[in-house]
Amino acid sequence: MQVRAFSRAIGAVLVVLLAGCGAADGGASDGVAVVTTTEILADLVRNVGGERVRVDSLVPPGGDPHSYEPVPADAKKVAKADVTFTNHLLLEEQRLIKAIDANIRPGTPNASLAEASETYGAHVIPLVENIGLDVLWLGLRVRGDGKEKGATRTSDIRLTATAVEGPGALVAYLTETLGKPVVYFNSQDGLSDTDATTLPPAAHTHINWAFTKPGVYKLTLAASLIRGEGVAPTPLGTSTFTFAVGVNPAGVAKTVLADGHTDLTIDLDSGELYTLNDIPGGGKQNVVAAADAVIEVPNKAIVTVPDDPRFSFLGQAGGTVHQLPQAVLGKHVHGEIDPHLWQNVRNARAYVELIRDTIRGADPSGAEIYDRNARAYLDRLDELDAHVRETVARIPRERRQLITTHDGFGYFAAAYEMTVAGFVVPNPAQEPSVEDVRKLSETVRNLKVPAVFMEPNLAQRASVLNQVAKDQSVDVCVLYGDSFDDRVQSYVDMMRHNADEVHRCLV
Amino acid sequence: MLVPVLALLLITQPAAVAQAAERVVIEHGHVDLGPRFVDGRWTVQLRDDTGGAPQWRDLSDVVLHVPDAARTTVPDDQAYAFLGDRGSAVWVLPQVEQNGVVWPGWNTQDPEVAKAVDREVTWRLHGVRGPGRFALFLTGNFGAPQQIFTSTTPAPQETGVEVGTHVHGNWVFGAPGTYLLDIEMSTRTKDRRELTDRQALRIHVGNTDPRAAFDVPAAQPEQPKAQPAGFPWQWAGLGGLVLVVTVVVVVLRRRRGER
Repeated sequence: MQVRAFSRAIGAVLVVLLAGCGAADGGASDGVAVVTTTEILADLVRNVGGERVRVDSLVPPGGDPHSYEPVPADAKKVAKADVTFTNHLLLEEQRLIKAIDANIRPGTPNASLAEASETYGAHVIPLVENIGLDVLWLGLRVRGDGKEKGATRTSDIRLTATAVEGPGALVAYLTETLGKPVVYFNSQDGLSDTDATTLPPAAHTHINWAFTKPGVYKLTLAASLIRGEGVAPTPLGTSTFTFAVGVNPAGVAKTVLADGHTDLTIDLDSGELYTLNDIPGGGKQNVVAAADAVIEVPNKAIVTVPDDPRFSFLGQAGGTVHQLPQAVLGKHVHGEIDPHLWQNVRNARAYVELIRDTIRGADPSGAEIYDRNARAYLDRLDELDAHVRETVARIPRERRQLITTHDGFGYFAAAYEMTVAGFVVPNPAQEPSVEDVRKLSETVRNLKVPAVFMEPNLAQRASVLNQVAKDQSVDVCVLYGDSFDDRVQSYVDMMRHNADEVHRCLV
Repeated sequence: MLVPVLALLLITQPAAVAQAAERVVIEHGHVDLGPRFVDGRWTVQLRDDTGGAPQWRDLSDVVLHVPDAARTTVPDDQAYAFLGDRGSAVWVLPQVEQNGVVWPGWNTQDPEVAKAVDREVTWRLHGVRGPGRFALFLTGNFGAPQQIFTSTTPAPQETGVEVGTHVHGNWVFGAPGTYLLDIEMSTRTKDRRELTDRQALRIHVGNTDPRAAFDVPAAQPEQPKAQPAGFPWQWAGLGGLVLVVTVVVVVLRRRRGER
C-alpha cells in the first residue's frame, strides 16, 4: 500500500522528466505520432497539435475504455508513437495500459493526464468506494458547561424523543463495539419515557438514524439537566428537527444539511437545541437553528435490514430502510481518484495545457504553433464552460438530479452544481445486484425525476436502466461519458450536448 | 522563536507554561491524534480536550491509560475473530464515548493543516511493540467491523484521513502492559510539498502504574522527520534510478489491479 503513493509521486516526476529531456526523433515531415487511449483525449490532442500531429486512439469510436481489450495492431501503433497519453489507471482497462507500457519506445513521453494535470490546476475528487457512506455524519452533542444552571462534571443530560411525525418510523440506535445494538429512540411502537438517552456534559457521540419509509419526518427532542439523584430534573429546552428521507430536501427548510458532519446539539448554557455543523475543509463550526435546517437522508443511504434477530427492531429482514450510519470512514478509496476529470471543462483545460507542454517537449520546433493552437482552444473551452454552467443553472435546483448507467458524472455534478442521485453500478464492467436494482427503482420513484440518463456506448448494458425507467414511466435521455458516437465527434460537442440534454430532460 | 515565547509569557500563567512540556497520563475524556504545524514543522501531536481549553501535546509527553474496567471478551462471532480467540480477554477503548475511559480519535481539522493539505493525510502504522495483539477498527452499519490496523497484519499498514475530518474507532488490546504504536502521518500539500512525521504513541493497559510506559524508549525513527521540499530529481543522473523504481512500482500496481 505504501508503494502506491510513492509510485504516484514518481510517476508524476517521470512525466516531467521525460517530457523535459526527450526530444523524439519524430516530428519531422510526416508529423508527430501521438497515441492516446481514448477518443476524447485524441480530440484534445488534435486541437493542440493541429496539422503537425497524427493522433490515434486505441479505443475505437464508441468503445468503452473500461472494457476495451487491445489488439495486435495497437501494439504497432504504440511502438511508432512519439508521444502517448493515457487518462488514469482506473479508467482504462488494465491490458490497455499494459499494451502501452510494454510497446512504447524507450524515452518516449508517456503522460498519465488525470493526476499530472493537478499541477495545471485540475480539480481532482477522490473515488467513492461506498456511496452509502457518502452522506451526512449525524451525531449528538452537549455543548457549554451549564454552570449557571447548576451543572457539574457529574451531571447528566437526559434527551427524550417526545414526538415523531412522518410517513414511517424513526429509529435512532447505536451499534456497540462488539456488534450489539442499543436503541435510543424508536417510534415504531409509539414513544414513551424509554425513548430517551442520558449523556454526560461535553458528550459527543455518533449513532445510526434509520427511517422505514421515504418522506419528510419531524423529530421533537426535549432535554433536561439531572444534577443528582433525588433532585428534580431541570428542563433545558425542546426543538423539532426535520429530515428529508429519500425525497428532495430543497424547499423543506432554508438550510439543507447534506454532507460533512452535523451534531444535534444541546447547549447547556442557553438551553437551546440546534444543529452544529463542521464547515468542510476548515476548523470552524456553525450553528443552524432546528427550524431552519433540513437533514438530508438520500436514497443512496438505503440499506437492507439484515437477517439478524438483534436488528429486528428495524423491521423485517430483507426489507429496506434509509439510514445515516454511525461511522462514515471508508466512503472514499484511500489514495485513489475518480478518473472522469474531463466532465468538468476546467479540468479539460488543465489537460490541454499539459498536452501542449508534453508535445512541445517532443517537438520543440513546433512550439509556437502548439502555443497558438492551445490558446485558441482554451478560449473555446472557456466559452464552453460558461455555456454548460449557464445551461445547468437554468434548471431549478431541486430538479438537478442525475441518475446514470455508471458513476461517471461526479465531476459534472460537482462543477455545475447537480446531484448524483444514483447509478446502476459504479463501474460499467460490473453487473448490478438485485439490491442495486431495487435501490435504483426506489431512487427514481422517491425523487420523482422526469428522466434518467444512458451513455450511448453502454447501450447494450443499459437494460436495467431501461427497465427501471419503463416501470417508473420516466424518459431515458443520453449523456456522453467516456466516448463519442456518430452524432457527437468532439469534446466540445459532447459537453454542449450533455448540458443541453440535462436541461431538456429535467426542466 | 523569541516572539511566540514572549507572547506566551504575556498571556499565560507561569504554571501553564510549565505544563506545556509536562508528562501526562490520560485516563478519561476526549483526545485526538493528528498532524499540526509546530513552529512551521509538520508534527504528529495529541489534542487533549480533557482539561479546560484544548491543548496539543507531544506524543512523547503522553501515556493513554486503559484501566481494567475496559476489559471485555471477544464475542462468539466469526466477524470478530481478528481480535483473538472467542472468549479471550481484550481491553477496549470504544468508538463511542464511554464514561470512565479515554476516548481517542484522530483528526485533520487543525486550521493550518486543513488549509495546507491536498485531499488527505496518509496514516501509516509501522509496527506495534507490546505484550499482546492490537487492533483498530470501526463499527459500521449493523455491526460489521471495518479493520483499519491490526498487529497481526504485516507492517506497514496505511489508511487515509480526509482533510478536515474527525473520526473515532475502537482500540483493542489483547493483554495488559505497555504498547508503543509506531505511527507516521504524511501528506502532500496544495503547493506540492511532501510532508511526513513519525512518532510513538504510548498506551498502558491494566491497573499497574501507567507512568512506567514513559520509560519504554521509542524505536529510532527510520527516516528524517521532514523531507526537503522540491527534491531536485533532475540532478545527478537520478533518471535511471527513477526508471528502475517506476518499473518495479508499475509492476506492483498492475498486480494489484489484476486481483
